[in-house]
Amino acid sequence: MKENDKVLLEINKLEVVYHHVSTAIQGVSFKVLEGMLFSIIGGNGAGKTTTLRAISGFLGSDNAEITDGEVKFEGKVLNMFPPQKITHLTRIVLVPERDKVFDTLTVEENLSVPASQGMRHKQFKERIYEYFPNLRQRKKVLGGFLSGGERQMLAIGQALLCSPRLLMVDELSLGLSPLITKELLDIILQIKKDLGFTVLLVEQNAAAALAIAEYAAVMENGRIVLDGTPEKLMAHEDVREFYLGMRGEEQKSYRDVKQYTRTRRWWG
Amino acid sequence: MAIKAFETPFRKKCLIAGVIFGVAFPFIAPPFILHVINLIAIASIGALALNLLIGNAGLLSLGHAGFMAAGAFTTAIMTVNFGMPIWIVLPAAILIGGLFGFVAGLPSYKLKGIYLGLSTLAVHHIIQYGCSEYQYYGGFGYGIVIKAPSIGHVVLTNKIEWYFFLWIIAALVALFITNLLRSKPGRAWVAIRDRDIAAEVIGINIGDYKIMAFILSSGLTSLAGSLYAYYTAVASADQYSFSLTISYFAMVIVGGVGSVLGSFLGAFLITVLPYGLMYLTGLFEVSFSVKEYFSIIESAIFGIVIVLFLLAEPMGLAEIWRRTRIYFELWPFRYKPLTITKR
Amino acid sequence: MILLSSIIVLGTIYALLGAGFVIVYRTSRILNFAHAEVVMLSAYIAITVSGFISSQILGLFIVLFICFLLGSLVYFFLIRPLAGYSILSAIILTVAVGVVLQAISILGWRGITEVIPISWRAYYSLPGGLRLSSAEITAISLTIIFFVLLGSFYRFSRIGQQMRATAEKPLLSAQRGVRIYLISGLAWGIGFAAAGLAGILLGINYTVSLEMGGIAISAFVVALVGGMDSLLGTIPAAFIIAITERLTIAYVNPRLAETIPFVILLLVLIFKPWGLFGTEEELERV
Repeated sequence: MKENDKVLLEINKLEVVYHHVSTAIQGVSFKVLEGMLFSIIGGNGAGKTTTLRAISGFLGSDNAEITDGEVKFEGKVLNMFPPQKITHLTRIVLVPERDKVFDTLTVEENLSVPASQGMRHKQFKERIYEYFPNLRQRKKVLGGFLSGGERQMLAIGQALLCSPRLLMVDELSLGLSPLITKELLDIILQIKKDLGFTVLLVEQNAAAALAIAEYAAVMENGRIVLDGTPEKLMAHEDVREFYLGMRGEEQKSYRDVKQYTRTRRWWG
Repeated sequence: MAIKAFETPFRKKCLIAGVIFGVAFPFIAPPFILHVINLIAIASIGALALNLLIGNAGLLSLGHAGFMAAGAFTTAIMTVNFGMPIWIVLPAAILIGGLFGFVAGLPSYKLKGIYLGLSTLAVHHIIQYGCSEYQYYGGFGYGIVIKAPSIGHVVLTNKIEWYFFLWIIAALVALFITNLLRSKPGRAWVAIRDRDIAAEVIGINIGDYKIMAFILSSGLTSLAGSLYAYYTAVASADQYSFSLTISYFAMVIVGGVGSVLGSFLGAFLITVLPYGLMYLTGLFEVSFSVKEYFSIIESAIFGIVIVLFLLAEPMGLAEIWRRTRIYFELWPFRYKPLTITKR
Repeated sequence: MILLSSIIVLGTIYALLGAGFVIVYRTSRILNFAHAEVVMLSAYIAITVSGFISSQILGLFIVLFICFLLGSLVYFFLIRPLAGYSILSAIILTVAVGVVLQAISILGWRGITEVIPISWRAYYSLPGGLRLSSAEITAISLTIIFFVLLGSFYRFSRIGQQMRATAEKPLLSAQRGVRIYLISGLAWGIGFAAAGLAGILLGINYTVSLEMGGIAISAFVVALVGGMDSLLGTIPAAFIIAITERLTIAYVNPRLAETIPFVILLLVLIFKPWGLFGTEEELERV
């Protein structure tokens, strides 16, 4: 990381406890620089989503609280502010894992909901349609009837209409095919280049995330166990085995397997 | 069954003192207060029943008054027309209440929340209509008069006798429910209340347990209605209006949703409050014209008190009790040692 | 023919009552048990207001505004503080509010029974032999105006869309910058104003009295039969109930009046558990 870049988001030894008894994350520290695409990868239950929710103020509704450490945005401490306050103060916008769009509103209406600032609303909406042409075709469709990929597009588009300075995306690839995931990530990268905001990407699909990230961290059991550039992470053998699925040098040949089953079937 | 009261010597002493006081109380208390305490016993049974349904099982049922009416009118019909003794009437009331509860609970297979609430309200209206038509066509005027019941050789006319009778029943009901909540149905109800789809997925047959909750609750409610009819010696359809359901809701909520102790505390407060207000306003010398509107002012103050109370402590009296108890238990310390898991 | 005109008026007023109830429910998931008392209080206020304001339209707006204010205040001071807690507490709170409002009505107006006067009195004959009084026409037209305004507001305006978003997913709305507390306060205000309008129309067509709130229990039923998430669904539901109710009273048994709406409710719920026009099941996360 270059030293003279501005630190946008700083997490210091963050600790979150659910229901007063269950520690979800502990001692989590990282810095996100302005304009960076930062990715957090890790398995289920690692605490990635909890981290995002702690930043965006959603913890109150999860019956959880920040018991230690702080969330700092441009030097301002954000611990336990409600979501609307955080949005208004900082323009941190979260695309959540679930509940990402309004099912009872049409696509058009979904995009009208955010209180937008800066660019004129209609113009901005048009640009969203340019990035996501599928949505333009489905303008009048209710959110609940969209396919998984379209929902994600709508969620991202809606988030963008809040003119975010920091866009946080939680599990973009959830329920989506690798192809669509890659497509969406590329679009996000493109929009980020055009509009110049910062992205914090939480992903289980480590390969896709590391392909576009500028810096990444690996979370396990509520702590950050490794962080660095994608190159460094992809070279690390633990990362390779657990998150990238590359196990050793031996490669099973498909031909051999098929031969075996065929033989068995004919000769019992 | 593990009862908290037996845990420590201090608590045992408190329990013994409490029992002694409880037994001596009716003989030393002024008759009016004894009467109110008896009413509280009946109200507690009703509150316990309602708390079971809405507090523990999380099913919104607005038919409470209807079930009480069912109990009261079963009592009326059986004693006046057939002369049945109380030890047959009470179980019959429970059974009939349970039956109505079963009917009211049937929609719960498909309906939830407000939809279930209003369908149970429909059952209430139907029951109340039936009762009032019976009363009207039977020529009973303002209510059906019921003779005092007799148990063995004792005819229950004396308020002291009623005191023991009612409070023993109330205690039995409380014990029954406490036991139930700790057993399989109790756990099933918690699962239904909190995450019923998940409960179903792990194999709890939520339909059956919902119906069970309805049947038990309405049976007990009907018992309360029957006792009320016996105690006040009259069964009148007008008494079992929707506002009675509201009173019981207030008892449950102010007392503490889902808490057995809360049912008693809530029943106590809601029953006593109107009398307390009457007493207070009686203390002040008010001009004659204001006296006309006493009942309205009382209702208004009642409403305001409930509002302020809930704003101050949404979790009810049981929560206040719990906090007070912990305060005294921990004293002179202020906080419990940390139990948060730290790695 | 009197039966027909009374059915039409009753139907429109039921629709109004149901709408007010649905608006509040959609926003906060709360059964507003103070609805009936708001109806009554607004009618009494209207009597007073019509006493010293000659312009009827101005008087109407004043009363509606007062109801709107009342609704918002109830939300901000009573409902919002209880936000995280059991919905049952909030429901009892509305009951208590109703009790207080009833007390105000009684103390303020001493239980008088009166009709709200309107300045133009006329009878109009329509083809088919139907005669409507000016009071009835007022009721019908004001209700239509109300529904048209509200419907388009909900559908097409930005705030209306935000209101629907808040009703569906308050947390997501908050995250997207919607001022959910203001919006909810607005919804409660509108709901109370609808109740207020119903009260005025009842007062014009029937009488203002201490019992007039009883009719509002049918509001609950209308709202459910129509489907709690469909504002327009309250209209056909209202008429179904109004027709059945009036016919039962006229030809079967007057004392069934209170029970009949509930019987209809049960019948509807058996075949259509989410009401006639309820579109979505209330999907819950496992």
